[in-house]
Amino acid sequence: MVLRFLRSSPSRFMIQWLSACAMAIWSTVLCSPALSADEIAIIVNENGPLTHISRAEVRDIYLGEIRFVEGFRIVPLHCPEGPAKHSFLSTIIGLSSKAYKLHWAKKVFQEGLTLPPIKADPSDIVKWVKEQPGGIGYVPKELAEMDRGIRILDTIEIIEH
Amino acid sequence: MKISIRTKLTASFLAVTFAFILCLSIVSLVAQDLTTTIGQMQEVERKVELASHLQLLVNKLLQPANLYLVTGDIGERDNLDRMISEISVIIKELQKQQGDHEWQILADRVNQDILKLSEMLINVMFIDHPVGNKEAAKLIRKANLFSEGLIEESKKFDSLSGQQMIKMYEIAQSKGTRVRIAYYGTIAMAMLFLALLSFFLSRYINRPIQDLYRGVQLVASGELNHRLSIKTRDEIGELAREFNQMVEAVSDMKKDLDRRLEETWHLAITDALTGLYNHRFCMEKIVEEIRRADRYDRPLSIILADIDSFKHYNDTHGHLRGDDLLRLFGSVMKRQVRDADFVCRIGGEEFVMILPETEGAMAVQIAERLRMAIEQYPFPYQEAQPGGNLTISLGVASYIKGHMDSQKLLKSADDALYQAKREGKNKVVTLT
Repeated sequence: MVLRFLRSSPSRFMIQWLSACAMAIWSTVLCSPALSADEIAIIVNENGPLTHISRAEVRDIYLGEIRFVEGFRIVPLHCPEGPAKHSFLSTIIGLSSKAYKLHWAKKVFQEGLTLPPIKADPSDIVKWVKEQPGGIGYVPKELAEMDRGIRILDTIEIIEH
Repeated sequence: MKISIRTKLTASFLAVTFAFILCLSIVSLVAQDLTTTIGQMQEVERKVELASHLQLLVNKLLQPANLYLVTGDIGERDNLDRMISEISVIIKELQKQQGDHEWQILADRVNQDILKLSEMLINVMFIDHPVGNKEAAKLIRKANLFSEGLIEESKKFDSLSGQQMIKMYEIAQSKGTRVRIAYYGTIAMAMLFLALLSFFLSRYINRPIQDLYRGVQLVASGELNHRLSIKTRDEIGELAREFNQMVEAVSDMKKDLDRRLEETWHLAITDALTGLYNHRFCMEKIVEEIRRADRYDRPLSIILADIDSFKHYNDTHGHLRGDDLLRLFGSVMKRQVRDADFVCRIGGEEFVMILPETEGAMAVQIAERLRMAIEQYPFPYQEAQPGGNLTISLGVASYIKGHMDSQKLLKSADDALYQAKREGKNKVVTLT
């Protein structure tokens, strides 16, 4: 009886639809921290050279002005386009996304720098920062607090727009 | 100055090694040159590759902006970042390429243009409501036009690297020809060198050894007058010189030995007192002459002579004078016979003359001449002899084929001599 119900085509469509919805919600919760988190944390490697830097220094790092500290190559990481990035850029860097991009286009073609990499998954950012002494990034605060081997430099609030 | 075989061989070996290394280094130098050119060609190939890649990426650079205008997805901004990263890598590599001034200027200009294009695209992508936005469409058209110009510009990379490629290809071809020439030249040189080497080895080592062998063979077969004429200044030459000295010594020794043998032979067949042939020679000679007479059917005669009353002379004047007399007799008799005849002293005062090729009558004539010569010769102290003169008696015998041997011939002569003595001495008698 149950099997026949499951095999009937409307019910099968319903199950598929429900599972798709569930997956969509799940992935939204997991992958878009901006929706579920109020704050983001700027994180660095616990044993790296960046544990005691100021906001201004974070800004310089993200603008490509500081590239080496104590002999370590500094790699700033970004999350994809979204509220988290937008908040980070406007709070810490003081630039709009557009202005930031234009700035980096000049850096790339005139000074030969490489663009800060973009990691789609925040846990990838955590992993990278844990492994690289010169790594620096920003992730949802809960995610940062869960992990060892990284240090939270600063937290900022997410500005919705 | 001595040059040993070892030195020669070592020198040859060194020369071969040196030539080999020389040839190898020449070929490798030329080949290395070619390798360098091939490396440069690969660089140029890389340039061609980069130039085509650049055109592709310029097109890709436009994609996020175009998509943004269609979908309005702000995620395309991240894609633009990715495209910018990719194209910047290519641009950096293009700028790094070794090239002429023109290439560098072009690379810098293209770099500036791509920056400009990127800025244009960023401007497009931060228009807030892009879908259906006329302003945005205008901007993107401008960007597209600009990118077409950029692609045209970047095609100049192709022509530049193409020219370079053709040049490199020509250079590589000429260098390849040079490698081939060096390769075949080296092989030819190596063969020539080996031929020369084998010639020298055979001339200065092999041939002297053969000469030595042949010379030693000759000398060993008894050619003591042969001398080696090897003039090389190595061990073989020394050996030849020593060998020559040895042969010289052996040759001297042999000459000495021959002379001594001759002397001994002479002594063995000579009567010591008179210098005439002795008894032994006489007997052997008669046998030999009989054999010859038999074989060629020739006549043969012998004369047996005996000094009359020699005992009386000896007793009267002593042995020394007797010996002197015998010597004198010998010389007189020798003077009376022909060169081909043999005069022998076979006993105390008995003499035999062997006359080959002589008939009985002729032998009698010779005997008579001899008898007269002795009769008339003024021998010292001959007055004391019976009859006041020194004389001889002679018996002549001729060989008769088939009836005689040497004993019989001698017996016949002896009989004739006995009869001459009996008939009063100073006579010639023949019984045949």
